[in-house]
Amino acid sequence: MGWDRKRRGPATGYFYVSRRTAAGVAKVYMGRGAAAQTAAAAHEHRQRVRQAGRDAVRSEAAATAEADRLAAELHDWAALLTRAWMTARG
Amino acid sequence: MIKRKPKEGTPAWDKSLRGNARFVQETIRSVADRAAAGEPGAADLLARWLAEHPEHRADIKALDDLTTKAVEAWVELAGGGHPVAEQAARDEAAALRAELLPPDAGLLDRVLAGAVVVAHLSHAHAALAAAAGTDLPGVRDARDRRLSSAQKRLLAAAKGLRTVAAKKHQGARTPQLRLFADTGTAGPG
Repeated sequence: MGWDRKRRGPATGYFYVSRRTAAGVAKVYMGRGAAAQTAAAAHEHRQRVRQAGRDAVRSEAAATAEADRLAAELHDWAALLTRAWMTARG
Repeated sequence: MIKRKPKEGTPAWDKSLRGNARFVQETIRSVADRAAAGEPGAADLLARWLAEHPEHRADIKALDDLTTKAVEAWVELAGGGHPVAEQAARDEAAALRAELLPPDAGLLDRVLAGAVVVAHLSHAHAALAAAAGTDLPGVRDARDRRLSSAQKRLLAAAKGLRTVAAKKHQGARTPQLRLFADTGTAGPG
């Protein structure tokens, strides 16, 4: 999906969108006029939203990373010592 | 001058292991796994190892520090930068810990209670995040996964504590293991 610039023709190229069909993914020609501009703007917006989502997920994970690591380590020790205690008591 | 690592198997290498919490952890894990698999003598080996190596008590005692750090990390997150909220979370964690610890709490009890407190704090944090609205793709799924993971850890921690408490309550033989017998400090909270 995006602007496809040819060797000849307008500098902006032509805009294509990818559509899923029964036969697979197909490139659909949108031209370079108003419809293409609208489709391109919508595509860019979706990309920005998806990137914002990825950034948010990464940011939230980073905020709790150290606390998660400490919790996981403590949890491992708790499980291990419990198993050792149960095993040693017979 | 570059300090070389001692050659494996030498007395210097053996001495270097005494401060290595990872070595202690892996040793306990290895023998416990063998005992759980039914290897003859493995359970006795574990009991003997734990009884005969009080020098590793320092490594195990470091778990009190780990518990404190883990609780404090989640208390900070719960506070979200607000000192009053942070203190409230700290007080809640201390109250929960006090509720979970038996009167004669040893190291194992402190570690298990600490694990429950930390799991509770992380679960509360994950639940709050999952309840917050979002329009961003992928964020809701990530929060749900985190909440699910936190729930499992809380259940596992509570089960571990309950299992040990129940066995002790049954009056079953408690191994005279110096490693576990340390009554230590009051700990966090």
